[in-house]
Amino acid sequence: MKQRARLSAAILAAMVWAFPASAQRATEGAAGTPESVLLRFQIIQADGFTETDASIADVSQVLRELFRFRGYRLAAESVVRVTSGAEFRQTTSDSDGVEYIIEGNAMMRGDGRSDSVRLGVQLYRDRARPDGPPLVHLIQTALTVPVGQTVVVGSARTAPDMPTIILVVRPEAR
Amino acid sequence: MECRAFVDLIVVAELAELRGEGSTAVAEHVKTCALCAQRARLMLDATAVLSRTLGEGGAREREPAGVRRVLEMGRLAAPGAGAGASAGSRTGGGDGIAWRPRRRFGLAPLLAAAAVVLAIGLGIMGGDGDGLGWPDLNTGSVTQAGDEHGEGLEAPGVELPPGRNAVVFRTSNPKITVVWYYSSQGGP
Repeated sequence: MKQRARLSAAILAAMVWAFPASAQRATEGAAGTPESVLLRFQIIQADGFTETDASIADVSQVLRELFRFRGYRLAAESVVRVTSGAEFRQTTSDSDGVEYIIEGNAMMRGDGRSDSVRLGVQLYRDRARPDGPPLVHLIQTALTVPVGQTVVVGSARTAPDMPTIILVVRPEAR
Repeated sequence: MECRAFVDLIVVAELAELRGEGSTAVAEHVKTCALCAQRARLMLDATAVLSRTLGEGGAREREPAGVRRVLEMGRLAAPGAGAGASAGSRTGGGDGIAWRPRRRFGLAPLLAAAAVVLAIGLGIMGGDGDGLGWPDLNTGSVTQAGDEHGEGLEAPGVELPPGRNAVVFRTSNPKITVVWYYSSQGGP
């Protein structure tokens, strides 16, 4: 047994000597992958808002470069901390009382230095119209996002009388 | 001139050239090369779909400064597709709806800024049966960097479910990526 243990130790030492970078990456990968991530969601309503909303200034700036909506306003926002591999479900509402449901799952990847999160996210709008269906499915997306990056997800309107809704996702490490 | 060179030209070709109209090199080539003709049709189809989709909010009439368009068809290898095979993973930039720059050349200063990546899903690609060696894209994804697990990723990647299409805009803000989903069937 002792000989076998010595042999294993020698092989391990030789591998570390021969492939130091790989060994380091393996060690850091096992220990460094974050266990959770903070997800910041912003629900933005497009068009009809000419005033600048400072809370979404960075996002609306790039949207203005791309689209011809007349303006953007922050309808609702939500923050959730998600453990890697877990599912989440958040409910938030806008100033008109319309409820939005954000649900999905998150899986962390990386080594603690360049982390990313694989996200499955669905956005629903509840009771968009009094006579409408209770839940309207607005956005469904599957993304891999580096921590610290922002992804702005939009989709075609589900009905002509519905506003265009845009979902902003920001994974943060802290 | 090899197909590979035409892939680069298709990036900046006029719509009429993509339709094979006129006597320019691109127009003449798409008349005689089935592979590039299909690429040109993809550009035209994507342009039409995106024009309809983004027309709701209204794409800008001109390409904003610092924005470049690139058509990215997932991470496709193009086995057996001949001289243009490598272009299967990254063919040219298409028309860009109404954003088309007026000049064909002189884009170099813009390229360092931002890029717009059009991720065309199965609905436009057609799939394996198109005879071009492009595999199906039912779970096609577009990633800008990093490995297949998303590690080392520097920009967001998008996974496209079957029948879904998305336009991925690399914006002038390096921290912000815009993903716009659309479907020929409508809905989210």
